Amino acid sequence: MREDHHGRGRPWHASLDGEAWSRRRLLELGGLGLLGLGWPDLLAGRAAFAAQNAGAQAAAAQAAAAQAAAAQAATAQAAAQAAPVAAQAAAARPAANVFGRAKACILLFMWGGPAHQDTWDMKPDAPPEVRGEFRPIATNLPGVHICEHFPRLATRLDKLCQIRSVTHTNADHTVSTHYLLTGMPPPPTNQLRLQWPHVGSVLSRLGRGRGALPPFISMRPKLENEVPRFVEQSQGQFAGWLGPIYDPLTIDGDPSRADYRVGELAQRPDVSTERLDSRRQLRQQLDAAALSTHPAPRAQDANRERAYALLAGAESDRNAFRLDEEPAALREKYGLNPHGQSVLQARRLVERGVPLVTVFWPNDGIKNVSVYWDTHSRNFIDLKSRLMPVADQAFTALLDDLESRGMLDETLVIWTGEFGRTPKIGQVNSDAGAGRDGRDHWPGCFTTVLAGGGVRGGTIYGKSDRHAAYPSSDPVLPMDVIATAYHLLGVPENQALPDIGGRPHFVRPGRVIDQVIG
Amino acid sequence: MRLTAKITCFLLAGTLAVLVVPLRSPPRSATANAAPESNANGNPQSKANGNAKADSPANAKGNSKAKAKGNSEGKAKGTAKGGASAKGGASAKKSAARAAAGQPPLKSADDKLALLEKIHRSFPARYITSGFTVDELDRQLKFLLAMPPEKLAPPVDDEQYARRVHLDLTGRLPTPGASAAFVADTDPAKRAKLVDRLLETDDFSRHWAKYWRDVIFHNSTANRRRVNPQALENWFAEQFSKKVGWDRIVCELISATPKQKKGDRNEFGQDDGPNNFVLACNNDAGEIASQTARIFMGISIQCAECHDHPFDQWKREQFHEMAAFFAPGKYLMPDMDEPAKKTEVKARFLLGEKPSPELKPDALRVAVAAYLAYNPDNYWFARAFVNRIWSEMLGDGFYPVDGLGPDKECVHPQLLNRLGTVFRYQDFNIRWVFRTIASSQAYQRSSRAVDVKKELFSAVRPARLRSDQVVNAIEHVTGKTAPKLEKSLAETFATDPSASQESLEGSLQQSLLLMNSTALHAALAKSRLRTEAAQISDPDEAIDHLYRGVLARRPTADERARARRFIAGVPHRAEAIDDLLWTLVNSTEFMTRR
Repeated sequence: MREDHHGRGRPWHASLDGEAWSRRRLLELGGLGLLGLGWPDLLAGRAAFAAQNAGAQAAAAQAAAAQAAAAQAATAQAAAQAAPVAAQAAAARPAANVFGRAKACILLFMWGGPAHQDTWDMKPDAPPEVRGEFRPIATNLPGVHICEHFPRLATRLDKLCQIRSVTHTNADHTVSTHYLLTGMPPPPTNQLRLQWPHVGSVLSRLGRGRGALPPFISMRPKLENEVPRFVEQSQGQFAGWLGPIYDPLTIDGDPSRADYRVGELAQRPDVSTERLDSRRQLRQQLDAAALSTHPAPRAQDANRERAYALLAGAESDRNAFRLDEEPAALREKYGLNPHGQSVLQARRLVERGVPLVTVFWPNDGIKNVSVYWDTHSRNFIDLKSRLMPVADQAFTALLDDLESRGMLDETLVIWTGEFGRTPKIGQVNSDAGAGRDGRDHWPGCFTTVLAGGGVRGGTIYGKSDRHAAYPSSDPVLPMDVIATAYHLLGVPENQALPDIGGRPHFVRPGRVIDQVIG
Repeated sequence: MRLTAKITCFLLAGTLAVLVVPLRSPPRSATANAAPESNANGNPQSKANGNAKADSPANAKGNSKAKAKGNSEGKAKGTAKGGASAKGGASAKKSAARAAAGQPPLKSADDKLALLEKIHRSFPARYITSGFTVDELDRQLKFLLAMPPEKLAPPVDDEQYARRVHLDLTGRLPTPGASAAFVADTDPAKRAKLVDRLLETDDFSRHWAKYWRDVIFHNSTANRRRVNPQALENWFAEQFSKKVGWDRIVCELISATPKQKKGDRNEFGQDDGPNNFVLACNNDAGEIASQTARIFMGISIQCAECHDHPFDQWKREQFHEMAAFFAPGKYLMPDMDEPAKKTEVKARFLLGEKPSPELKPDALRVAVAAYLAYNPDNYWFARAFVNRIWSEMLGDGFYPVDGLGPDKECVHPQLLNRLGTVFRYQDFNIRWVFRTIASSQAYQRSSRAVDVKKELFSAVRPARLRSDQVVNAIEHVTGKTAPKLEKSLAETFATDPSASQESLEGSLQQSLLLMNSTALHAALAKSRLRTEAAQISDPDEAIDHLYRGVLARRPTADERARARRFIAGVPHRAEAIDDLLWTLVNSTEFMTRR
């Protein structure tokens, strides 16, 4: 049984005990991660997958020959029944080998849980208390509609794959993020080092990325207002049992502000690279001498080495956070707001070889009323003013920008929240409740959108029922979404990594959704 | 198991059997070094007069019921069972109503303290027959650790002890002169004397005021225009330097009832220091309750806001009963299945104490403070403080300071409970805690990372400096820093003081600042230390000077040799001094309390 409830069903793999956390062990792992397990492993994984796949395809060909007629009939029947024609057409295409196609991933995390039925998966025929205020509009995919407040995205649906049947059972924001960010159901504890590692931490551990920038960066733009910052408390955004060395570089600044900057990266005229290097060597020698008698925390070493590499390395890496280098017109295309500029920042980072950037939605909204995408009240007002136009603009600009730079094929973009929202307006499904014009948390069904990096554009996979309450076909668990992302990023199914205590875990549960890739 | 009330106490109402002889005089055999200060603890009333009768005219009715057996500390069972409920009756109820109606409004801090004291005296007295000397602590820990002596970290040398104890108690490095004088001192009691001296400094009060300010504000979501962390810090510093007991400090914090000034949306009385705990919690009943439990009891009950606590004994209803103490009026608990449906919940403390229904909201907050500090069954309050200080000073606590786990995760609970109990009977004299820990063998061991839980406290864990220590350390080297650099250091090195040392791993931004900040390096270039070192012609002496100035110790022979080779390889002496200074400021050791 595939069951993902908090602490039940599929066993949580954590038998890690505190005693086994050896700092020495941690340091050994640290060394490995910084140097080792890079592309060779990925290539080996890709080769293994290709061999496996070739065998499977041969078998499939034989079967196909024998059952050609039956299969055709079935396909035709299914196509006739299913509304999104595009989905079925895409499903019929043979999957190309896209294992490892994506070199990087940008995860646009719509913290709070976007109302799926008011954005991607509209139900115009449902009763008014379900369908809401918004009208669907036609898109560049025949027969497919999305919300009128996504007008730009509506003309780019050929690039997107919507999975309209994602489902799980946890309605708690800061806990269910764990499932969407790591691919594992949340553990029955909030202890940081018992959590599953974020995809970015796994990629860091595998030595991904090029250039001097950290391989895993999280944008958590912080606004100066009264809205509490729930993103910081959300589970699954760090390295968990992989250990702190693989935690992301977190950037809490607001990139839309003129004073946005990250770290002291400007090269100093009085310190040449040679001099910096000789200082570095001296520091290492003296630190080593001191540490031999007085061991001290050393995870900072990784940060220090990264800082050296940045200061002594390529100018372009040091300028990674200089958004003012981008043309004003492009900045405007992304939207001159915290989210838009964070997405632009993500593109700048991916361009410089960072393999994973998470962009969390900023802490905007009105405290205790409607914050982030958490529209317990003012669902329609906030969606059409504060949320959807900003998301529409930034996501569209990212797609266009990546494409014009020839990066879209190698960059996987994921747009998701941690859950959807209640089918009925004003329906109460959690302690937080819902106002007359609001929707409460609803993990039973929601939409996750993929693009680029080997994703099959123009696809709609899975269907929700008539009130968008539960999947009516092809249910997808968050672990399947993440497994698919891992596949595209070249992390094989059998990838095991050791935790801080040395115990190996398979990092990638879930199954790849073949119909959305290739 | 859920602890149930042993004592039900109706305040000010006359129904209460106020219990006899709640003497709070310091234990007779208090530790020698604690004794002098317990008198200066700003708590003369409680000590001068142990007799509850004087203050409580209505107590005559019930006090025959009282039995105040001198149980030893820990789990005393029902010393005063049924005292309150026994002789209630109609007349008592009437008089309760009268008393409540006549309850003077709590206008000043003194009114509050008087009420606090009144409730305090309603709890049974407990005697402990002995104090807890540092020797006893050492013996007990040795017994609990059960490790062969050679596996314990060796005692730390004088130079390191001076640096460590200066950093821990005052947040500052010792000056080279102070360090050298301490090493040269031949007095066998010099460490204890140093501790005594540091505990009297303003730096001690200031450093720990900053710590508690950060504990309260680090995760606060309050609007920054409606709080004043600096006022809170100043108030803490004042309390610490006036030697006010921890009970009084916490009472003032959680019983504050700041009001919004009419016509000014951002004026909540935040410039009055003690208002800021409640304001940091947005003056929200649930938030105050969960932060009170987290910070002052070291237990996490906030999960219980929505459901029964998954890993601990707390029930959802208990959370809301606790929150009810802080409500401005009726407190309504939302139904779990139908949040729109709400039921009224009456205030009840976690251990079952119920305040008189007549109490007004401001008095309720005082009542909860009294239950928190003075119910002898509430061992969490005293031990949460001890655990926090121990955790800061040794790098590991007996349990995570926020108490995220259940009780069973506490190591050596016997020792911690003992320390907590003695702290209570020292009238919550915070210096007793610092002095005891700083004088213990455990604190005086050299540092190393402890990986195995059962070996905790066999060494001191190297700890990252807190942001105020970083600012001070930089200032120690450069002289007074520019406000902009100070702010940048404080922000970049800000850490959650409730997070374990193990989880603090620094950041790329921190490394970049120390390595590459123009402002910092301009300050280093202009520093007296650098000027002096550049003027010393003998390279060894220059190296020694820099090591003393930055790391508060002399270099080892090996370090001196390496540094000398480096200097010889650089054409200009001044440049070599800059490089060496840079290197020491960027060393792991400089940013570590070890």
